[in-house]
Amino acid sequence: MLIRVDHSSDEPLFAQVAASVRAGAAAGRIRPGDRLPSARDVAAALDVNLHTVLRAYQDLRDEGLVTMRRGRGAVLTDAASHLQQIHRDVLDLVDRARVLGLSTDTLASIVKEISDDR
Amino acid sequence: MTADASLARMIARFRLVALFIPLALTALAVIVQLTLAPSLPDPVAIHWGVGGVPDGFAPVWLVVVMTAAAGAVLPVAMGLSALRGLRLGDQGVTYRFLGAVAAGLSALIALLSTWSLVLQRGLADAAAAPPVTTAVLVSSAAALAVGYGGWLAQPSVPAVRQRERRAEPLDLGAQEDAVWLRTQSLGGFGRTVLAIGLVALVLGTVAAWLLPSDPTLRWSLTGSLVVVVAVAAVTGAFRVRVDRDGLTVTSILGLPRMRVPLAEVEAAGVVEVNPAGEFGGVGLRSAPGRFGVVLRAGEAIQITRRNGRQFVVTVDDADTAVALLLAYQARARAAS
Repeated sequence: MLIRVDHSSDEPLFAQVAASVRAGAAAGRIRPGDRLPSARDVAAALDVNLHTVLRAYQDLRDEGLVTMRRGRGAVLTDAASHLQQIHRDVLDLVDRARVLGLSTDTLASIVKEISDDR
Repeated sequence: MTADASLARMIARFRLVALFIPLALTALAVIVQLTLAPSLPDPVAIHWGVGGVPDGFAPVWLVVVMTAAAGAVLPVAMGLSALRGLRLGDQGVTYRFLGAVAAGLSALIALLSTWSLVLQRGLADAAAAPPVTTAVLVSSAAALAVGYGGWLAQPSVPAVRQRERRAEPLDLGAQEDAVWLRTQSLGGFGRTVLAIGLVALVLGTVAAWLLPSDPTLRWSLTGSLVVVVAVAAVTGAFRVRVDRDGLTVTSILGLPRMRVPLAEVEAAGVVEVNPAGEFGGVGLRSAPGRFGVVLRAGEAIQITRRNGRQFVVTVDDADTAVALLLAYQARARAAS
């Protein structure tokens, strides 16, 4: 699985790590039952603090995407397949937004606002 | 000659050397052994100890069955699995070698087992069987000759470097860092072979210690068992990692650990690997010009090093791994 962090981005590093895991699950590159790489390995390879990665994993656990067990590490739950199910729809939406000249950031905030208004 | 015609010729020759010759030699050996059977002692000697004295005995039918099993099943299993790769359009020196080994191996088994019976013709008691030293030497030489003949009978074709899928470098920002990690375990086929080997060895070793048997046999079986367990533990699963330092492949035991530093990466791409044909099986494998961590058939990261040698690791999602590697390579080249 691919984890990427952009040091020039305003988004906190832990949020970027979590977003990478979500993207991997959405694209089907990691599946329910797959184990996430150890936080230590990720932290060392990306040269970020171990607690940054742990924070990301905890967030993913709080939203139900992974379970964490001692000795087993972080394991992807069935919720990962839900992400994969909407992957196609999201890609369609992004394509449509691009045609209409809307940036991905704008699209993301529109999605958030509309769902908050309901 | 067109490509299709030369491929057809290569497959035909491989089939002759790796399948038909072993089957014919084994059939011939079995027929001769069955013809000899009435004039042989029962049981016959099947093993000779130090000094050429027979010390292992078995009924004739067992020798015939063993000849058929080892002389035909082994090379044919090897040949058929390679033939699958050849039909898919793969080719190379590994197949030629595999074919030659299959022919030589079956020649050795057929000749030696039959010769050892011929030596016992007319004896009342197999304990009086003469030494088999000459038979072993001559059979080995003959097997080498048959193997070499099999090598010559097959056309020399350059190994197709499997069409490497060129990946696009990952779109990596100037301030962006990324790591790709994946754990890959031994595929179903490798696991089955290992499991069968392990069960057979455990049973054999336990039997050797419980039943009266030769201490050499006991210890060599125990030693083999230790080796197979170690191989199973080491090659069971690997962690594969691509980061700004390059590619790292580590056994889940922690050792062995193999690295290709980014500075040594000349090119990287994705290939489909056929373990039997290209590497002669699964595991940590050397082939001419390449080294492979081969755990299953299918997609793999293939790195060509600066010195021209290739490093291959079969792993899922290899495209992403290669894309990241290429992105870091491009960044390093832009910086220098």
